[in-house]
Amino acid sequence: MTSQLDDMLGHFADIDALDLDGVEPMTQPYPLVNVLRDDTVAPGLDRDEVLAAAPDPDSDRFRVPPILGLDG
Amino acid sequence: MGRAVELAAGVRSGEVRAADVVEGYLSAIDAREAEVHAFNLVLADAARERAAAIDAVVASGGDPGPLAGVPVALKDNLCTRGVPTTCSSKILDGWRPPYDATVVERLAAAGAVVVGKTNLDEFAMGSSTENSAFGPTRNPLDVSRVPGGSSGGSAAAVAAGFAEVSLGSDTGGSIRQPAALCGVIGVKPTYGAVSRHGLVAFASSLDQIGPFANDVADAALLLESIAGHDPGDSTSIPEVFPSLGASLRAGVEGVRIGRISDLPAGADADVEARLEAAFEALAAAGAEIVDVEVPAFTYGLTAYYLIAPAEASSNLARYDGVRFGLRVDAADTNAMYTATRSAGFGDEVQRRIMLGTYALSAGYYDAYYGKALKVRRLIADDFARAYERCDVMLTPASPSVAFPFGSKTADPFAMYLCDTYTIPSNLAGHPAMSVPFGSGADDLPVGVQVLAPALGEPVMFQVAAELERRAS
Repeated sequence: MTSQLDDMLGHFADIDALDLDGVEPMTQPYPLVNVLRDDTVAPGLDRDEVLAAAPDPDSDRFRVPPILGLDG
Repeated sequence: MGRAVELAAGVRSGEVRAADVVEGYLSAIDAREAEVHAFNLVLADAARERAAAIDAVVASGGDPGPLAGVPVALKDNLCTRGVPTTCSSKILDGWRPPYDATVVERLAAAGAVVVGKTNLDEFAMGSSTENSAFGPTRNPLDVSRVPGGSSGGSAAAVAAGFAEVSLGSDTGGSIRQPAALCGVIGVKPTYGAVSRHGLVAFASSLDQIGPFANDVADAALLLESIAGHDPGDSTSIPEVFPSLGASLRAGVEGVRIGRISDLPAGADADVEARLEAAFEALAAAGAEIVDVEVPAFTYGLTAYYLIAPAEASSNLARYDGVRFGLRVDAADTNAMYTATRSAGFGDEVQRRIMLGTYALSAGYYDAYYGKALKVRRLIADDFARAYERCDVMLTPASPSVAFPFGSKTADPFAMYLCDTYTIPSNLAGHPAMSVPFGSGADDLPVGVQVLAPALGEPVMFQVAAELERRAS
């Protein structure tokens, strides 16, 4: 996989030939504006349904292995 | 008139029963799905129940909607409440979303009947469906060949008659290229025209949901049914989506069709020949062919394969084995992340995550991701200049007809080249669609791509409808 990634980066060098000074980067097709909705209560997802999809739910929480490791 | 339009009209008037319609398509699935493998999941019982409910609405004098009784297949990266949604990845195997995608809600409101969830390249990353964790989809026109991708299952389902229409998603060509390879219509709408709420994210600034159909009119009907503002997607366009019906009958008299004189080479001769035939057919119908230049088109591939993996590497960080999907247990959380992702993600997804994180990393951001964003601007600017002189542009949808399994899997970059002609529209956020226009090598279909500026769907469908009339 390393050689494949290396090969791709080689192909991607084609844009090095372009003069990009002063070109404004484009992150989105349209200028993003902050979209806010009215501050009214709307129904959210059902908590039990959401937790049912977790690999290891524990009452209202997601259980994970120790964060720092057993010898940390 | 398209078949979906006819079916819906028949069901709404009570002349045709949705139950009978659906049974016909389920029989087609029974007959050939084992060979084609278009679906990750066939929802036969749910489809029958839904059809019966639609017939009951009609019987009681109600109107089930513009897609009444029309069988539709959904790409398996569209969330369906309580129904497994896998993205053809082991990391989401068995996951049941707690909500429906907005497009799924809109299809239901329009009276459509979902027959199944279709196969794709894992997380929509690929051009052949060979990257699915559940095995490839085969092209119904020649099962020794790929259907294209990543929405290969949705394209194959329509081509095989398993569903009359379907939905896919298109990040760099994932609707248009499989549509071309399977000989059906495939549309990538303007970015923001269709809500992405409930579409599992790959590259959020590029992803867009769109229809597959056997007829241009059906694709228009499906697109009209799913388009429009949605508060659940902050990139959703607030304006009302334009109506397409009048465009289908308008003809192309006086429409200016752009021919890109500096289009990157690489299309096969049979594909080039059909593109030429399309220009000639439109000229014969009264359109004006105009030569235009889009110099940055050729750099789209590089910009895309830096930007899309960068966004994917961020989006896919959510698959951490904590809240949903696969977990592979380990002694601590970091080891659990690694074990889960190593087991859950296939090679192409891992490749793109690594490529994306590399392109975004502190030392290389300016050289790769930053530069790609500037190239994206050049492409949008070049398109804007070209559209001062033409209304739409025509290119091949795919450089070749459907190719045999395994022919591009050893070299990922060879697979990436499949997207050469489709990628620039995603980078610019413009609509584009593939229309079958005759056949090429081995009698396989060739798709001609119609490109239009943002919200140029009416003129795009106008030209597509003329191509459809002239193809037969």
